[in-house]
Amino acid sequence: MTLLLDIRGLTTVIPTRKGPLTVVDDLTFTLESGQCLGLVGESGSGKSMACRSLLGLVPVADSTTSGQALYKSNDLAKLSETALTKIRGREIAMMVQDAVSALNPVWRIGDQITEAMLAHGITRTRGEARSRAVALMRQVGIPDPENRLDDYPHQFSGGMCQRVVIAAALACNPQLIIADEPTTALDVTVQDQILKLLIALQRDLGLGLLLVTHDMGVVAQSCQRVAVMYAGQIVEIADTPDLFTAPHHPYTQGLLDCIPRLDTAEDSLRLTPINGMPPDLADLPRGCRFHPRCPIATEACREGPIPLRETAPGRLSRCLRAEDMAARTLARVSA
Amino acid sequence: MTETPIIPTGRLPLLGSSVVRRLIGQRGAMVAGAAILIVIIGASFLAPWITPYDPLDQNLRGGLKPPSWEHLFGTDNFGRDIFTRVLYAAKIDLSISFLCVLFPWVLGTILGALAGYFGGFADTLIMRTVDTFTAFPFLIMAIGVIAVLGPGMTSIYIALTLAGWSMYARIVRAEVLVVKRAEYILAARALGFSHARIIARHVLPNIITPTIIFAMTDIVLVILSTTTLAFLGLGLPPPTPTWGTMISEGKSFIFTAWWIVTLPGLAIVLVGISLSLLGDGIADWLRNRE
Repeated sequence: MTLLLDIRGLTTVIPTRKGPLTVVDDLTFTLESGQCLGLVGESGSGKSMACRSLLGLVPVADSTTSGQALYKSNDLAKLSETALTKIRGREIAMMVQDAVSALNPVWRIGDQITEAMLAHGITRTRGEARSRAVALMRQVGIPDPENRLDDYPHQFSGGMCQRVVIAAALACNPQLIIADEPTTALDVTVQDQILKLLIALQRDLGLGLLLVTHDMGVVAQSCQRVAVMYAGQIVEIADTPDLFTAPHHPYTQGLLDCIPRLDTAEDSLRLTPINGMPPDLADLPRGCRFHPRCPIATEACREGPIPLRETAPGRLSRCLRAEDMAARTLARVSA
Repeated sequence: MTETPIIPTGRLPLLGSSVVRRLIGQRGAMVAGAAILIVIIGASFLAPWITPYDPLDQNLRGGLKPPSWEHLFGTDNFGRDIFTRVLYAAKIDLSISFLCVLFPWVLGTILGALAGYFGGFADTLIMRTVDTFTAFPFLIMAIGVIAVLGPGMTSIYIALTLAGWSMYARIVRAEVLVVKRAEYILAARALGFSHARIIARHVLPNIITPTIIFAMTDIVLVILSTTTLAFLGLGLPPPTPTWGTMISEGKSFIFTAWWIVTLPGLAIVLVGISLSLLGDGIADWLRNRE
């Protein structure tokens, strides 16, 4: 396993009429090849912005990205647009949220898969690109690829469009795939198929996969490690089983309490929501950003920025009371 | 995009199109327009075989003859056959008009796409230039440019391109502003395509239809403008036959020899009507297809 991504303190600020807005704050995580990292958080927590910041694709003019985003030995945050163009698609491929609208309506499916190969010079001739496109379409489970190559996107269902998007992302043999909510626009049965396909491809090809989602179920099913985002910050990173058994941040605990469980006693069937609303990024609370909604907040939580710190081997948390939480979980499990 | 985009249609009511269209129906109107235009273009190319005369040959003894079987449209004050001159002029007038729509379309589309796609300083620079150009009335601008450059074919192209490009730039910029936020543009960026490739292959194919629709209505205005410029003596210098110069030269004989002015004028009217019928038909078809 080689280290693909080493992100340290990546911060993206976009200018607004009300003043600068820090949409991604102190993003820190690592991702190895062959590893699937889940990035979870509710809508507006900065997941998509984090992905786009990595590739220099923040859709706002005059946004600034600082910090370090090492891909192999290149710092993505400092590369020029030209250098980034060579990495996007070729080394790191990102799949955007809505597969149906991610395909350009005026071009045939085949052209959309081959374009990346031709643009990055992976294949020399159109014929070569087309035969590779057929192979890719077969690999992602599109039936009858030879004929469907010449279809237009509107002739494809949502699930099939998502498969095409995956094929286009794989076209240049990237090392890392960033999948931004790949299953959100699909219905539940198709979601499951696409997720299984994505995980299978990632394992077979030994890719790094950054899977952005708001669905804890998806994370449990597919990711080795999880990073939880809240209000633009990562609040906890841990291996998936550790995170699910004993979260080290009350926000993670809150997210887990929102999942219906079938394996516990009857009295806990009632779901516990997280009280309150996520904060406005322009008007963040002082101290811990979660403290107004936190059931275990203390006076100390209201003071100063809280750093992301190691709370156990291989685990990071942005909570002052992480150890207390761990102790409480331990007590609950043993009781 | 199911809704018809609201685009400004021509600066001029389409010549009689609604009346004729009511008479022969929508599809029929388009076919009629195309048919008239094909006949005129065909005749202009086959002119040497259709008439026995040369458009420049003078016959001072046979001047100012009214229409007859020998001279279908009569002769002018130099004894030149007007029918022959109208046919030869058709080729010149139509090709000038076609290019004077093509050039502004290309220039306006490129600049509008750059302004819309990149935004910021490029947008400000290009769109304020557009504002400056739109501030001048179409013909005033064209006349001004030709007055500076001197009459000639190249001057006409430059003048009508400068006078006409700004509307295309506006349409294209507005469409690009919508399309550049589409997911497939972000997807294209995420796959590592250059800006040039994205504009050419992903933005322009999705926004080009409204500009073609506008060009279809614009061509009528352009043909009237080229003939107007010729009438004002800013077109091609004599003796080259163009409809505008023919009318201009014949205007002093309007009470004694009406055919010198009237028949080239009717040719302009006929081309104008056929172009607007055809243009309207194509524009409707493109709109429905969207």
